[in-house]
Amino acid sequence: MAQTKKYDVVIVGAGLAGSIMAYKLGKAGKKVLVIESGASVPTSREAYMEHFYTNLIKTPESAYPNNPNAPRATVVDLFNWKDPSQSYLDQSSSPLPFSSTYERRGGGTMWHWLGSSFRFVPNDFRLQSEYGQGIDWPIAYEDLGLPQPGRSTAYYDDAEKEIGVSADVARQTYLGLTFTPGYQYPNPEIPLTLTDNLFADAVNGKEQFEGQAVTVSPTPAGRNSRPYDGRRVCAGNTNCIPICPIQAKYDPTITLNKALDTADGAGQRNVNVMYQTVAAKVKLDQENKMVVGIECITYDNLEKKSPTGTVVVTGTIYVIASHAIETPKLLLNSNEQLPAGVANGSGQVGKNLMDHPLFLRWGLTKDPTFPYRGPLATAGIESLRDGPFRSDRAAFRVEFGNEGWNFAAADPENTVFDFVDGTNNNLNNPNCEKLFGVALLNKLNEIFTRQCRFGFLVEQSPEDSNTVTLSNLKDDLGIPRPKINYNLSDYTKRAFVAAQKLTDQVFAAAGVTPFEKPLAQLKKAGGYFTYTDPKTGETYNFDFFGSGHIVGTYRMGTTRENSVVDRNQRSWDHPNLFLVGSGVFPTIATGNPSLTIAALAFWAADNVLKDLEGANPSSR
Amino acid sequence: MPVSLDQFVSLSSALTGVNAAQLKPALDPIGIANQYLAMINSQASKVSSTTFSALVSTFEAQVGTLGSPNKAAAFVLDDPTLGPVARSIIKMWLMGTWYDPANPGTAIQVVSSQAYKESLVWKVMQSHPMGYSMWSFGYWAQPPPAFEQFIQTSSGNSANGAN
Repeated sequence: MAQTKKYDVVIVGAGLAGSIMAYKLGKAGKKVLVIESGASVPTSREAYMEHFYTNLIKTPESAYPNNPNAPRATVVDLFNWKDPSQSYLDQSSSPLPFSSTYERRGGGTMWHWLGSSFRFVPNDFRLQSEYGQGIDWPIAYEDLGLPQPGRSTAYYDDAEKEIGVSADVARQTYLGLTFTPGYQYPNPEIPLTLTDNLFADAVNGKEQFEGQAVTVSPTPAGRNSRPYDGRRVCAGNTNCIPICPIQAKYDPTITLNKALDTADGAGQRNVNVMYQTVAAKVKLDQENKMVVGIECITYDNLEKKSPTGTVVVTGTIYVIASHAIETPKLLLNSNEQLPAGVANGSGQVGKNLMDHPLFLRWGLTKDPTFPYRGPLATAGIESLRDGPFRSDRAAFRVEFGNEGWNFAAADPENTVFDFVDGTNNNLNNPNCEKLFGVALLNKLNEIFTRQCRFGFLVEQSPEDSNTVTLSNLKDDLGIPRPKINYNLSDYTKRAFVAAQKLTDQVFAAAGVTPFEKPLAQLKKAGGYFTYTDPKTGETYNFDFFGSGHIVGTYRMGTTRENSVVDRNQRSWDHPNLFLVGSGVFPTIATGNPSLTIAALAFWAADNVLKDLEGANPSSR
Repeated sequence: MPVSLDQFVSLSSALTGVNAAQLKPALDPIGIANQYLAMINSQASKVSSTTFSALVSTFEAQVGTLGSPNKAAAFVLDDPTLGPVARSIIKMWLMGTWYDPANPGTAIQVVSSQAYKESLVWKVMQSHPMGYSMWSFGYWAQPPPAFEQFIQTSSGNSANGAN
């Protein structure tokens, strides 16, 4: 079997965590090999844009061609989520669909991230000790949010600098968030939309929910409010998902590029990438202690099944950065010497799969607020991310969408259908009028300029039974596909009830008319579920979407029994193996995960460097 | 006789309510009307040339009989054979996509990436195509220009989104 030369560090996955680690390690003079299962980063995003423009269904994946050699979960898969012949994820026996998707290509899933760059709040790290729920993290907010001894910046600061976050510290110091003294975000705050201001004016300083203030705050954004890092300022394309046409929104290809620019004294690159190289097995030494290589399958055609051979990549330290579905798949598939898989002495690999189940509510404002303009989200309600209610039900943050009913009700298409064909899909056309000409233009204008929507990102509780395991079904390269078991706990579902009540209250305060799917239609949705309140006996019907936040499955913790990696993100079982990315999160917390993934990757890179320099005894 | 571009634009203007000069400018570097006409004339449209010709000739005859393009448009939209094709034409101008006249909710194809960017629905909402902003940073904090800045109507009456 072919074998590469031995690198200082081998990194599996060229997404956010992998790119940051490659950059930091390359800058420190280490020789790094990144292996990436999918396509290389294109020299221009025009081909992706063309793919997006001409795609009939504008899902998060709609800009990115399928690649049978490195398949991934897609939103289109979810139309038939229980049928593994139609869905890459084998969810045939799952109670509910895991609804978040990801990319396998250079730059990773953050090609289609939204850009929301939240710090987790302090109590997110101690849910168990504060509220008796979930599990505590082995680290505290201060470990990421304030400079650690010997450092002048916090890891969150480093992450915000790399991403180029636009925000104002004065408006982000809620729920106990603190910052490095004198800290400023790299870029000024992004202006709010007219819809944001409608809700801010209606609730800030006025509305209370469950005894807590309801406060609209600007969203810290991974998009440029001024030219930054060689990239343009945001032009409000309202298309962060699936793709920013002008790269005003950060994505990891920016960091990967910087990693590739690092070189040694002889001008030789410190970081190399092998694309179209799919990690299949992690190889251990005879004592099952140290990782000695990663066996990969290569292929040569992005459009069809085309394996070309096997190669073993080798290094001193190994980093797996393939997020919370592909990473456990790889570890569990490495079962030749250890039947439970690599790094799985705890039995925790693949458990506690989490997402922010996303609850959508939408309505029409009284006067035009002109949605479908600006970045996809610029503000939300952050003041309810923490509070005593967390003992009883999950927390959430509320994201205000700037894309009208595009996500919530398939507009503009559905409303155009309704008034041209005389249907009533979106419930604005109860008399099933068929319009044309100027009357049609006026009706569409009247509706489209008043649409708004809320998205509740619910903090799903970690559950042992929400799992990624190996399916009996294999992909085109012969690698087992991920099998998913996924459900929502009552603790999680109770947040939907609260979200419903909060929507009613805030919509009423802002003069917004709510719309929702009729029950018959709701019951057909993939994410349909019910919750019955044991006190009142009342039954609620909901459906949910994925937030694209794939979390858990190799959590960090305090002991080798309760977790897969330690607080340094190093495997308890294999001292030269690091697992990074959102898979290490013990709980999903109340913010979008990317900023914390980035902060933890900066920290993990420091830990790898210490180990390489022999400064850390636990590496020996 | 194949349908000419001018005939197609006159019909389209009556159906959509948008001025013919906006649908087909005198100087037309993009030629979206040509693309849409070619779409209907293609096999993929599932519209026979007979039906399409009948739609246009009926519309033209009824302009004479009924005395206005608006009434003629209403006439063809009510016709069980011609109406579905006319509605697909309205949707194509609005969405840049051709929908099967026999199955109105079923999209056949996005006519082209230019068609996506030129589709009128974005102008109707006083915005820009998602993924193709022509505005600059921070524009979203202010109301957009008036509806009339985006759409010139066929009737000459200004459309008013606030009514």
